[in-house]
Amino acid sequence: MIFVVLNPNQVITDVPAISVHNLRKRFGKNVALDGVHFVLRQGERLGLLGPNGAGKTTLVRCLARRIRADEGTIEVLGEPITHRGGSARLGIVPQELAIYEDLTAHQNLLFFGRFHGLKGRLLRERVEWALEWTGLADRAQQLIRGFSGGMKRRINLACGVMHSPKILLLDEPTVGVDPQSRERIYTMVDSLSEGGCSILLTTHHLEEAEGQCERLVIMDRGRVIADGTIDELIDQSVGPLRWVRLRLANPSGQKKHHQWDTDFSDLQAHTVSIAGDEQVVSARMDNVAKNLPRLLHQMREQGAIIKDVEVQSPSLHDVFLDLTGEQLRDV
Amino acid sequence: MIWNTFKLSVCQLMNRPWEMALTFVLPIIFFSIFALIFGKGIQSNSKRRISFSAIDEVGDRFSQNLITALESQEEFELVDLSEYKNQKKHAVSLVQRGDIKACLVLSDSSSQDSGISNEPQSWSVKVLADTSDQLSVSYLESAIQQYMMHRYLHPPADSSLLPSNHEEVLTSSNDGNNSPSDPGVHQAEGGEVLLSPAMNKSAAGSRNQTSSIQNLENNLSDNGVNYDSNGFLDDEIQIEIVNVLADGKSNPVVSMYAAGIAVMFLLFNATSSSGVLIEERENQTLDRLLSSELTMDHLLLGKWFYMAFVGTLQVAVMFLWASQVFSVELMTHLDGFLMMTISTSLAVSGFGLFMATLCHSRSQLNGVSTVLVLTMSALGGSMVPRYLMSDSLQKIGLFTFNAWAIDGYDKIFWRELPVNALAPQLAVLTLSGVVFLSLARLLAVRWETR
Repeated sequence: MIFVVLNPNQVITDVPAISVHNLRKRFGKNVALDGVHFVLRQGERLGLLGPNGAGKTTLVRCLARRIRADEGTIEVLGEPITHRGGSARLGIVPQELAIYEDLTAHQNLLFFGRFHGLKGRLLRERVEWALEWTGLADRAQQLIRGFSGGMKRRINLACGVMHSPKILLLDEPTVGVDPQSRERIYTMVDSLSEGGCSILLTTHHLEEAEGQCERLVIMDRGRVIADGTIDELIDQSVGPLRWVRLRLANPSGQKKHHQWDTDFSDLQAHTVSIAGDEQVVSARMDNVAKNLPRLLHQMREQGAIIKDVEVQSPSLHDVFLDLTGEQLRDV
Repeated sequence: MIWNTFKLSVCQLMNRPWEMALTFVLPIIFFSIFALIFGKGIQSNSKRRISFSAIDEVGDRFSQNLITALESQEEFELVDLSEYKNQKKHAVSLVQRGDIKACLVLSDSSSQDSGISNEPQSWSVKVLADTSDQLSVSYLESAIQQYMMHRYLHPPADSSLLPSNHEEVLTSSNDGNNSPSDPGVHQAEGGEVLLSPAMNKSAAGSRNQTSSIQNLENNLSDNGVNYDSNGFLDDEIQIEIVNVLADGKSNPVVSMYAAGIAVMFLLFNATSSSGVLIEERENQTLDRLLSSELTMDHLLLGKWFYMAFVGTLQVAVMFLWASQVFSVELMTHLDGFLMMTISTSLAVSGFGLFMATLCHSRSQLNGVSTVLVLTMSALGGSMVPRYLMSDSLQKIGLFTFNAWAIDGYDKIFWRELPVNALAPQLAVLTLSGVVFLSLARLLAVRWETR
């Protein structure tokens, strides 16, 4: 039985934080969303990926109630979204710095808190918390204009969570910041997750998505084309193939590529390159545990001097390109 | 490198159509407006008409002919006062309200002590005027003088067509400010038409025809009329200009300039401040704001009130400065001033928000609003007084905030009318503010949920 309590201090069980069903949106002749389905579970961190023009922004704007879908439903904590009210459950952090640069950090937090209905002691407490959370308490009275990119990003994030939302829509939170700031921002996001906040992270940083999200949704051409954990996505796309790279000694210094005679019919993308005194053989191989020893044995029999063997698991990058193709998407 | 820099700048200009429009179109628009104002507005063939009334206390044929002659001129429009018991009081009221430019009072100096002439059997012309429009007053004065001259130079066979003191000639004593002898009089050489085109131009001070003046002086001398060393005629009929509005005021004209400047800057500030709305949309702050408990209604109303507040404060500071430095009587007109300033600020703020919601980018807003604000200011009287414009241009000016606001301030500081006289200005400005705000709200629908 589903048990829902809408008191923010109590736990809501089983009900998805966000449930999107058959969402469709068209702008003129351009189909932005073509029947999108996905679920963000409570307390989950979900990465939303896709090439440019895939429909991510439209989807996020639909979730933020800024675009009305032509068809389909969106449920937030089990209730269909309305275009009036219900904003307290959602926090939005846009990709752009949606803050006032001619206000101080304190003033920005104060006003965005007020716009979310906070007042009095609670508002003051939340502002104090946000300044500590962002590590900017000592610069609270300084204008945002003079802040570094990373500091602005942190304030941008804080302004979106002043009202302690249950769900956070986080759009490219680390664009243009240095690794230290990125680390700091994700530490902040971690603390939100620990507090039970469900997070939908939209990003083009695949490594970030892979490292920060428990589950990933990949969109392309207005549809969800893959949904699952990184392992599930690998299984759905590249499967058990692994990149194998062999470094061979090339004592004769021959410039011509040697054609190795192997009986591996499933060896994909077999390439050989010469780098100085070495030959590098790269290939994608199914069932590495069984086939790699056989390959090494056969090559040794043909006189190859194997210096090093590298087996690489497929990354999200491989999955992404496998699913969406390598063609540029200039929208 | 220099050539490349030049080409780079040309390419940038080509890619910014609004800037290009400002560069090339704006000067043309302004040239056209000022050409219309100065090229046609005050020429003899313009449609500008000077409304006046006349009270003939003399009642002889000469005085009647003077009024008839003025009325017959295309440039003048006689307002009939015959239905009023106390014509003079009503005429003064009309002048004070700005409904007419002047009232001629032709009175018999022998029967009353005008304080101007003690000569028996003489009559005087008193012009009860609104001297804020100095051009109209001097134009009217010149026309009277020309009529007098014409009659002296070409006396009718019937001597009753001349005034009883027809051997006295003209003087002018308009508060000692204006030249006592208008060059236009000297140019009015003979001719059958009362106000010849040459006369009209001279009244505007636009031309100086020395040869014509010399001819006229010779003609006058031949007819026994002589000048003194100051250019006064020896014997004079007296024309007294009575300013029914400026008496006792310390510096009333400055308030009119202050109003003109204030409205123009209100417009600039309003369009500039409202541009923040476009910035908020461009950097997604608007998305974030509208995802909170804030609605577009809250946002627009908040900005409207803020802009009106800052505008009111801006004008108040300006008038406070004017009151301290230029002796504008602000404190005695505080109620009317506040009413006009608040309604004007609300109107221009509504207009600013309308422009912001109409435009797609900040640069577009800057371009369009610069053109509109400068055009409105030119037509509405912030740059050139509207009384210099032709009737048609004055009517076009009524489509601007500037005209209504300046008229309102004019009523407060110059005419010193009670605040209920501001009703038309307050109504038009406040209503236009609400209308523009409503239009902005309608246009902002596209920024809400699509």
